Amino acid sequence: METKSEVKSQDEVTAPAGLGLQISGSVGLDQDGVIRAMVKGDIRSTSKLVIAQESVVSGLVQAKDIRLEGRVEGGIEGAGKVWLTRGSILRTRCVAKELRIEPGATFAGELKVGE
Amino acid sequence: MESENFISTVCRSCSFYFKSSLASQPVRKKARRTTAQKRELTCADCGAVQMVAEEAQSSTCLECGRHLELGHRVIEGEHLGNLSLEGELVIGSKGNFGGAKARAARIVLQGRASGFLEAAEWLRVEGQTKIRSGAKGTKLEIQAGASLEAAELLHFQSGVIEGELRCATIRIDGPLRVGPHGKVVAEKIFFSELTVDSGGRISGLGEVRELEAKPPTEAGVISTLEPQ
Repeated sequence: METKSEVKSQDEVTAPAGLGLQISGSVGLDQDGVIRAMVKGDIRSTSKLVIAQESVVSGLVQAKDIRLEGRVEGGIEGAGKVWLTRGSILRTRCVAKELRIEPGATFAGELKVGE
Repeated sequence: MESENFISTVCRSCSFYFKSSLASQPVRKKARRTTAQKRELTCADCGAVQMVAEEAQSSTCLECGRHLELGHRVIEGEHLGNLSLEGELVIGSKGNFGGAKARAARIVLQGRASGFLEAAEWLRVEGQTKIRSGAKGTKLEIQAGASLEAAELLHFQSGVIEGELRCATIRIDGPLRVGPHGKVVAEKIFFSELTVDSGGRISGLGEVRELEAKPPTEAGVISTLEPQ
């Protein structure tokens, strides 16, 4: 299943996308959300965001607080706390105000916290 | 005449053998020496273990013959030459370690060091400090308000940064924590676990590295970066 339009509506945000769902384009969220999908684009949220296990985001992820359990290729920019859990993969960039990288997470890239 | 402590004798006239009254007294037991408290000492060079008295200030390795200084040392001025202590080394705020390498169980750095520092237990930074070479050890602590500037690699098992750290490369095999007033600026930052509290700052190229089997005090990758 492939969605090419930009996801903006609240209903689509609150219902977590099932694994196997593929989204091409940027995703905007205005409340807490969980991403369970392959996203070929950026994700922007003004609230808390969870990138669930096995989810892959090829673009940039911006949100207030971010918990990464899956994989992000384009970098993460969190205005608040960023949490990389065991098994998560992040490359290129990580910007946050507060950061926790658990042992077993994979990270390689630019690190800017509290700057 | 016999001595006053005589035990037995023979009469010069009749050859009668008799014992003195002292002979009937029970034999005095030898005063038992108190056993000295001992502790285990491991040679920094060959790793041989020996037991030394708790109060001993120095010893010699029974295996390799290395002189082992067990006491503490405070450097308040310029110190030239290498140091190897099993105790604590304090480099005071006006002190400068100018040797090639200093090794101690615990190092308190308040001043400067031109040479390489190796802390078997911990290296604590308490003032505005500089290491022109690198350092390695078990734990790196930079206290709040303190700062450390290092030109080369810092390699530790764990790190707690409450002050400011500026260095070329920092490698922490275990957890690295940057406190609310902590700041880390490095070209490369390697760690297996990272926590940056709210208010803490970190900037540089970061990479998660899995914990190595070998501790940094053993010969490993880091040994190539040490002064020869």
